[in-house]
Amino acid sequence: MSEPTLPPAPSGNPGAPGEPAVTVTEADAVLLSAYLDGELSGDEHRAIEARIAAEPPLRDELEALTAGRRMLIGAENESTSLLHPSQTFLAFGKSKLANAAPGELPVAPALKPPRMRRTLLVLGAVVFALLVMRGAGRVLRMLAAPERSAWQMTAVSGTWQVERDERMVSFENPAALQVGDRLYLDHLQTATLESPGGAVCTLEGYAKVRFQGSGGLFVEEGLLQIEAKDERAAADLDKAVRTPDGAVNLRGAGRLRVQVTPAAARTGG
Amino acid sequence: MPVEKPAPSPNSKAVPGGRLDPHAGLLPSGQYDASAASDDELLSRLASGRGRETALPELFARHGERSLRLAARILGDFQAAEEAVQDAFVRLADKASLWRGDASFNTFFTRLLVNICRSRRRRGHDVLAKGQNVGTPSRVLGGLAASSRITEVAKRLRAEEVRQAVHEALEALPEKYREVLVLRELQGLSYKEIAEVLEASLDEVRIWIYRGRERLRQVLEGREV
Repeated sequence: MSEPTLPPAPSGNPGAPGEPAVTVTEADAVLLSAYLDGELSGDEHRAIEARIAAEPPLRDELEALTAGRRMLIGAENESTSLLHPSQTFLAFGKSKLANAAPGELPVAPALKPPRMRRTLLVLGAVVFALLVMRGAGRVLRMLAAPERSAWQMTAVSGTWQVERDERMVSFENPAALQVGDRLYLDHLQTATLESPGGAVCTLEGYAKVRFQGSGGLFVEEGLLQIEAKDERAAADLDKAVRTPDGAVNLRGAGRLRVQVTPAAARTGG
Repeated sequence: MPVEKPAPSPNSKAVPGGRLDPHAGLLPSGQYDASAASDDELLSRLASGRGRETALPELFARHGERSLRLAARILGDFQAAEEAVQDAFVRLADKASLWRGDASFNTFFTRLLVNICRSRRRRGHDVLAKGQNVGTPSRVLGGLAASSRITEVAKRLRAEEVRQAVHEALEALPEKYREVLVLRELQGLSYKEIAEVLEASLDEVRIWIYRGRERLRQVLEGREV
C-alpha cells in the first residue's frame, strides 16, 4: 500500500490571502482517494496528476487524505502489537475446528455445576421420586377395588360408623363392610352380621370390631354373641373370630358369647 | 504438519466449475500435506467435501489472526471478534460447497466473516451513532490546510491517545464506511476484492472509501475541537 509520489507543486503562491477560494468537489476528492490507493486507470491517473500539479487545493486535499490514512494505519499497527488472541482462540484451530460438526457453532464447554448445587439437585431428585412413589401408591389404592369382608351386616340400629382409610364414615342402613374397616357401635346399638356359611354374630351395646381378610373378625371391645346352625357355619367361625386373648373356636353347631374389655378379655359359653 | 489419508477418488483430474484440483497437496505416499497446498486449493478441497480435518486447521493457522483483527475492527469488541472468527471457520466447511472458483479464498472467506460480523453487530450491540451523518458535499478549502489540521491533531495527542481516538472514530462511522476502511487500510484488499466482499460496484467502493476517510477525519477533528 505504497503512496504515490506527489507531482511537483506549481510555482507561485496559491492560496494566498486575497485569492478566491477554490472548490474541491466530492468527485475530485473521490478520484484523489482512489489515486492515493493506486486504483485509478491509466487515463484517470494521468489526468488527476496533471490537475494536482495545477490546482493547489487538490494537492492540499491529497495531503489531508494521506495524513489521515497514515494516522489510521499507524494506529492499527500500534494496536496489532497489543492484540493477543486468547489461548482458547489459538487452541480452537488446533483441536476443536478439526472435530466440529458441520454447522456447529463453537461454544464454550458446559460448566459443571458446583458441588453444593449437584448435591441439592440429587436431594431434590430423591424427594421428587419419593413424592411420586407415595402419590402413585395412593392413586393405586384408590384405583384398586376395595376388598369386601366375608361378613355381611344384615341389620343395625341407628347410625353406625366405620373407620375406613383413616377416616370416619357414617352409614344409616346396613352396607357392605370392607376388609380393614373398624366398626364402632355405641352402648344403645345392636347389629347383626352373617358369614357366607350362615354363622350369625350379634353385637349388642358398645363395640369395636375390625374386619380382616379371609373372613377374619377381630373383636377389640364389646359383647358378641355367635350362633352356628350347622358345621358349615361353624367352619366359617373356626379361628376366624379372635380377641386380644386369642381365637374363638366353635366346633359344630352351637352358640358362643364373647365379652371383650379393653384391659382384658373374658370369654364364656 | 497435519497429514490425513486421502479419500479415494477415481478421477482426480475432473474438477467441475473450473475449481482447483482438490487433491493438490497429495504426497507420493498417498498422504495429504495441507501445508503444501495454496489457500484456494485448500478451499477447493473443502468444497469437494474432504479435508475438513486438515484444510480447516491449516487455513485457520494462516488467516486466523488476520481475520481476528478484521473482526475486531468491525465489531469493536475483541472477544466478540474471536467468537465471530471461530464461527466463520466452522461455517466455512459448510459454505465451501457454494464456492464456484470465481473468487479467491481471501475474498470468499472475508465475505463470510464480514456477514457474520454484521449479523452479530446488528443482533447484539449495534453502537453505531446514527445521526452522525456529517455530509460530504463539496468543501471550500482556505486558510489552514486540511492536511495541516489532521497532522496537528496527531501531534497534540500522544501515541496511545491517537490509537484510542482513531479506533473510537472508526467505531463511530456508519457500517459500510467502517467496513471499506478496515478492508482497505487494515486488510490491504484491492477495490475489486472489496467490491466482491461487499457485493458492491467498483464505483460504490471508491465513493465509500473516500467518504469513510472524510468522515473519519471530521470525527477526529471534532474530537480535537
